[in-house]
Amino acid sequence: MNVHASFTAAPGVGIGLRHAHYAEFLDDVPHVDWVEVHSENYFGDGGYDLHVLETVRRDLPVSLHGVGLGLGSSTPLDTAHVSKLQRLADRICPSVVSEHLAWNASPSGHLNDLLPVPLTRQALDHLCARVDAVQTALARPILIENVSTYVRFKADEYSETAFLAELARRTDCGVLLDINNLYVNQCNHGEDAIRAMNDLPPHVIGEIHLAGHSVTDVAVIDDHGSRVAEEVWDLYAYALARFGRCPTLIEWDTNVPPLADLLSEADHARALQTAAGTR
Amino acid sequence: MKPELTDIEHAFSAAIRDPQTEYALLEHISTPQDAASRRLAIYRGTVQAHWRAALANAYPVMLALTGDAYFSTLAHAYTHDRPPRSGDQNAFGGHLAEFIGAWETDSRYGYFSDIARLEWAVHTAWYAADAKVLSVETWQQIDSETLLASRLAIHPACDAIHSRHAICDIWRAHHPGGADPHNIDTPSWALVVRPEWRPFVINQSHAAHEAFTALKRGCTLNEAIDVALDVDTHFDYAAQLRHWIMLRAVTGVT
Repeated sequence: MNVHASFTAAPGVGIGLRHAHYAEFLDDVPHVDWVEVHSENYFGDGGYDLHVLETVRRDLPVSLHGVGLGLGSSTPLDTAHVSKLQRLADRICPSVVSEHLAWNASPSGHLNDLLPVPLTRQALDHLCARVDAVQTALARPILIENVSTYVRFKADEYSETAFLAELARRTDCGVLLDINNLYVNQCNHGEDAIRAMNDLPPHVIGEIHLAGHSVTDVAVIDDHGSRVAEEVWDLYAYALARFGRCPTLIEWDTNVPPLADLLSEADHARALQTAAGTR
Repeated sequence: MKPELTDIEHAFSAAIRDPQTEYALLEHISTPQDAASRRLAIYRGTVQAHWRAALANAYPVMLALTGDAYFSTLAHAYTHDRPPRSGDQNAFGGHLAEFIGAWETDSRYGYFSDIARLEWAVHTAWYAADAKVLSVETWQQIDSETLLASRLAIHPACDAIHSRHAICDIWRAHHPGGADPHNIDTPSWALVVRPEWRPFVINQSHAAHEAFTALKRGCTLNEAIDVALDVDTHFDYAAQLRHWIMLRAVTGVT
């Protein structure tokens, strides 16, 4: 599979399509280049959410972003979940399908969070097999996103981005680079975000995420509940210089603000893209 | 020797469910132990919040009826007994009615289980398949004899639920325009419908309930009417059929 020719992420800047903004999207096409949705929210057989997504899809490219597949889980791959994703992808024809470098399932049940994967050779082999299986089922490459974590493991043999670079090399998947997650991990683990980006070859980056976080005395929390922080915008400028003008999403999932606030964040990202020149 | 991926994930999973088991996971973590323990509490809180949010999303009337504290205790007990088996949170909670029936032993709250059953039917109706629906004019063009001998297609979002309690009224009391029920110990026959996109609940008669469930089982309209007439000799099937057509509870003939 020639993954690089298959990265068809829509250019420009997108925002998440959320319930709170459905009416505005149905009323008019907001000034965004594309939208992203959490795949699992559209796994139904039919109903209003799919109706809205299919309507929006007529005007805007859609990126499907999964949060529940748990590719790093050591339990068997949830083939029913993959089938639902496949059905949704067939229905929506997304520009991109993405998931996370995370796990969520154990024999005693799902934990429904993006839990950190030990960055070991064994985990890499496991992830390679799972990414291969999903890409084969979907007949398309997927992007895998780096995650924010609150702990690291003694067994780690890679940095997270070196792990992702190797995963991309071995499976032809791409990387969805979340700049806020790099910043959160820089704060929580002292991992240099610039060095992390330098571990990734530019051609594997298919999309960038930008989001807000909150600072507590225990850790920096990746809560997607506020504007993008200045420090993260600065890292984004570096990412644009290193990776080129990558499709970029403004993520805002909790305390979802008025659409105008999201659009103003998107405008800021677009201005930085323009300043960075063309890829 | 490196620990197996499985060992680390099992220890992590156990630590999320029960902080008392956290020591086994801390052996694997490079983050300084004091910080690690407090940060594992973030994961624990997030996972539990996601579980509760998934149940609150599916069971808003149960949450309104019982209040935050009761609902949180219920969610915790349910999740312990019936942990999620999917990464799709909309799929979590399908056994709550059965669970609460055994868990809540106070007979004053005997209706909770049926409310939960109704709410799960409404929840799944949101995501049910869309249906091709015959127009009223097309229905009118079908001659009576053919119609009576036909099996009717039921909208995939529809479900008929019987309860010893006034579950329709209780459900509606927690939605716009609803009023508190006069007597919750009144039997009811609920029908979940989704004429367009938003599912809602209506009351129907006992006879209509029996006819509808017969149609859903694959009986012909004629057979379903007979079932209803056994319950109520005055059952007006023509008016009932018009009502189901208007609500798009029946969508065509098969």
